[in-house]
Amino acid sequence: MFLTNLLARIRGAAGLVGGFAGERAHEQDLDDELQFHLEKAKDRNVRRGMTVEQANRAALVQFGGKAQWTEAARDERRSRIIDDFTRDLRYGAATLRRNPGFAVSAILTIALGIAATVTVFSFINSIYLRPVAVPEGQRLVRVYGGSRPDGEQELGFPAFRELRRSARSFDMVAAHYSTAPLYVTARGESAEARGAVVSGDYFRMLGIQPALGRFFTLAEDSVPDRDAVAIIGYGLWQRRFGSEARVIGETVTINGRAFSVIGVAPEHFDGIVSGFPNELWIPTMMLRTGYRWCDAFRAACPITSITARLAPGASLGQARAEVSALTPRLAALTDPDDSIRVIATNPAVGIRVWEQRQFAQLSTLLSAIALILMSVACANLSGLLLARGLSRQREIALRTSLGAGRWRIVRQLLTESAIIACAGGVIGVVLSLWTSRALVGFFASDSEGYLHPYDVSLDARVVLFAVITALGAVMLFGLFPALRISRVDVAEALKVGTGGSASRSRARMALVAGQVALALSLLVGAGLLTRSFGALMSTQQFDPRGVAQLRLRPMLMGYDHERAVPYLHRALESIRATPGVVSASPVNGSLVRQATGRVTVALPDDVPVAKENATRIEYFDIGPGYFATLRVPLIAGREFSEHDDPSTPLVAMVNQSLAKRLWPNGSVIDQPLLLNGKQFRVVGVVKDHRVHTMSEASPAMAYVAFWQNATVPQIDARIAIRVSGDPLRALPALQRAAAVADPGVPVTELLAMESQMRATYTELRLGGAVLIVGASLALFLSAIGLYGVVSFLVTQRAREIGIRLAVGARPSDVLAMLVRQGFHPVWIGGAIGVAASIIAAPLLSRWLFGVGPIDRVTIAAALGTVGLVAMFASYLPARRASRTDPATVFRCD
Amino acid sequence: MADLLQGTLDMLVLKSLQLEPMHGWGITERIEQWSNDVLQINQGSLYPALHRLTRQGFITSSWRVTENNRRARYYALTAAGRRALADEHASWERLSRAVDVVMRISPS
Repeated sequence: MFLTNLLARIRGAAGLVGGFAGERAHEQDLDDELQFHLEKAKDRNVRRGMTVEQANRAALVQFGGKAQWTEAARDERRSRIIDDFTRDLRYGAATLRRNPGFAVSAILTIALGIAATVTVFSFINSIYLRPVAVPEGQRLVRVYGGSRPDGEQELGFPAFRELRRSARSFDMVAAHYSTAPLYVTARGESAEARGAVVSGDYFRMLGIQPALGRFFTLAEDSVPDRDAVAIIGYGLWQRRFGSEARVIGETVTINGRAFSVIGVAPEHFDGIVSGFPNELWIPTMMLRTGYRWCDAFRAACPITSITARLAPGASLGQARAEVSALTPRLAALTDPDDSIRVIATNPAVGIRVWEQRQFAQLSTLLSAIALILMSVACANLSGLLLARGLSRQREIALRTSLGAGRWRIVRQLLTESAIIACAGGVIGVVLSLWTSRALVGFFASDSEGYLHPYDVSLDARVVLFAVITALGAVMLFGLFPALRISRVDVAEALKVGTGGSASRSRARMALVAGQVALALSLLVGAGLLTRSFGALMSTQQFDPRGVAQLRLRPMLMGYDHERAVPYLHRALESIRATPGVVSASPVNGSLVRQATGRVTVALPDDVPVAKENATRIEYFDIGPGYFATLRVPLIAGREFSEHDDPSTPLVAMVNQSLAKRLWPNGSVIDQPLLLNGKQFRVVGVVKDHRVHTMSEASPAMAYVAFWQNATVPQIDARIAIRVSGDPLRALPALQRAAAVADPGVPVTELLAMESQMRATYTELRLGGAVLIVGASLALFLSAIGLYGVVSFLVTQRAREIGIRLAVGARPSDVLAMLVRQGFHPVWIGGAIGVAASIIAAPLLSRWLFGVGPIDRVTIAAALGTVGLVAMFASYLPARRASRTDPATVFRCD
Repeated sequence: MADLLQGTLDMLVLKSLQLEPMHGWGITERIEQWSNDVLQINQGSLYPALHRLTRQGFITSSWRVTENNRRARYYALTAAGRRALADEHASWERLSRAVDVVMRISPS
């Protein structure tokens, strides 16, 4: 019978595993069995004297409808599998309900782990994987020039025309310039709108319908500068047109030209470039209105992107092959200087390709952190389950002795873990909705004040990932304890008294050590980034507080240099006359980066070198009083003044680094300097004041005078304005002042400089914040784990403690002994953690400033924090133990 | 033919297997013989019962070849099944004795 029992158990297990897969085999068996029964019945009838037909008929009648009870038998078997599962579920749920403390902490722990992983995945999904949210999104591909040394670039309008004409694998090809700065005057108000210049069939390609009115016709996009029609976004329609139907046919001014509104885009549509939402669309034939810096219809001004739709039945491979064949023609149309070698055709997913690269390191860091947090959570849960296993020993031993196979018990325990994982998964996903938004909030505005709302809402991919993660978590944290617990020595466990093997507590100690190590590495990382940010901010040698900026864009209105100069003077005058303004200074370039571009630098007596080998430095085109406005200390000489204009000799300033490099030993003032081949005279030296991280290049810089137009003719300008109060509050008055000179000229990028500077170091701040949150979580979980271990120690050694106390040991001695024991895993974990931090620190080097990747102070601080927390976590249960009354220990046995 | 309660049928099936393993047909025959043809088991009740008992772990089955060289599924009691049989028997005895007592009370 033992053999049959064993066989039965194996078959039972195999039956469950291959349950539904073996359905057909079972069917066959059932049929055979019933057939046998029928035959025997017929035989008996014949033996009783019936004829063969009578026997058959009688047997069949006796049987009743064969179909009926084959169905009943089949149901019995099928219901067994479901029954087992339901029973496991109900039992598991009941067990959890009986231990609400455990259930809640377990579910919360796994919820945190899943929230972290799903948040990071949402982010990665948004950056790399998410298709455009339109009906035809799956079929869209981007075509762009790839693998130039400088990176990817758009192909431009002539190439678009050629592709549309020749490509067979695409059924539609559209061109779009989706970052067009369109300055819109409508119903008396003017403001900048984030617009897109798109080809006539763009909307049709996407498969969307207008909310009101209609989209462009191909005829409207055929003659340059003729059809000034526009489509406004739903949000824009609500905000500036009051959701009124009469907007159709209304006239608005865009970049100085009158346009007629012909339609409203559907409600949640905001363009096809993730991170750059559009609220206004004009046809490509109006490109010259939307982009003023060069003629976008010509080659060598490639600003339009190409997005195409795969024809039904065409594959990506076919499209790629076709584009490869067309590459020489397309490359010639994009850039006559012939620097494009490869044209890439890729699905239109995620953000733009060259931006994806910028996120690569950050994504890696975030993924690593999420993985660590998940591991910590799972380790914690394993520990908790192992601990509970101790108290369930008797129950499990009982079930084993009653015939439940080990496999059944493991299945039961895994079901419990699955319930925890599912509940935690749901909570985790809900949590991630909030944390994803917080994460994206760091990228809320870039250094020019534009919002980049990356889409981290849930989609099928993210949900699937969450499900897989939850299931994986069950395996990770549930399998090991289940196997451990189910392997029980029945006799041993049923004995009254304290049970529990030494090896189980060793496992828990190991888990705590692991968690401490992970928490420590996260803490060190957090400390390094925090110190970096602090160091960064303190190297600034200028004072951004109290400085506001704005940008004047007469070029959008078609101003040329002659008209722009008096306009800028007038604008500056009226800004300086505004109450509260201390000083104002124009610049050409980025106020945040404090640079306009690069120039070659040389001294007049230097040997002339070829253009490619010339030394290049960054330069900044600044107006008079710039350094005074920003409070940068002058070291020698003077600032630019109003007298430095086109009629006077060219002057320049340098910073300390450049001065030391070019004239290490002598005076610098009045020295000649060659920038881009033109000769300048140095009139002043400033302190190095730009902020830069360790990975950025050396800070040598030159400065040229704004009004001298030494490098490029000045038309647009950014103005740095020092105000006496809060810069944010001064912005409306400043905008009005600037508009006095010409109300039609766009005044944009109204920002306070300080917040702009912060935005530049988004990644650093983000990394630091995430690490701090992650480290706190990991530390918290480790503390719980350690608390559990010490509590367990206390229970295990209750008798010994009682004895010690009874024979006169001081409670403080017992306390010390327990805490010391509890610290064993902490030492080990600490050592591993320090080693891990040292090994992994180079991961962060991109963001470090003022601290090396291996920083003694940070490590010491992290160790101290961990030690403190561990001390607290082990002190609490130990204290309880040391105060026990020895008598109670001996009583219950 | 008496309509048997599900629990009673299960008990009878277990009893029929107490001596030695048997296939489904043999079980019905055995019970018929032992009860002198009073208890006739319907195939429609027997096979679901056999599946039920298998699921509860009281019996196991294996395919064997009969004397007539035919392939049949034989059922056998497990240790748990033996214990269950004893329990059910005890319950049944208690129940039937109690019913008996009640029925013997004369209405006077």
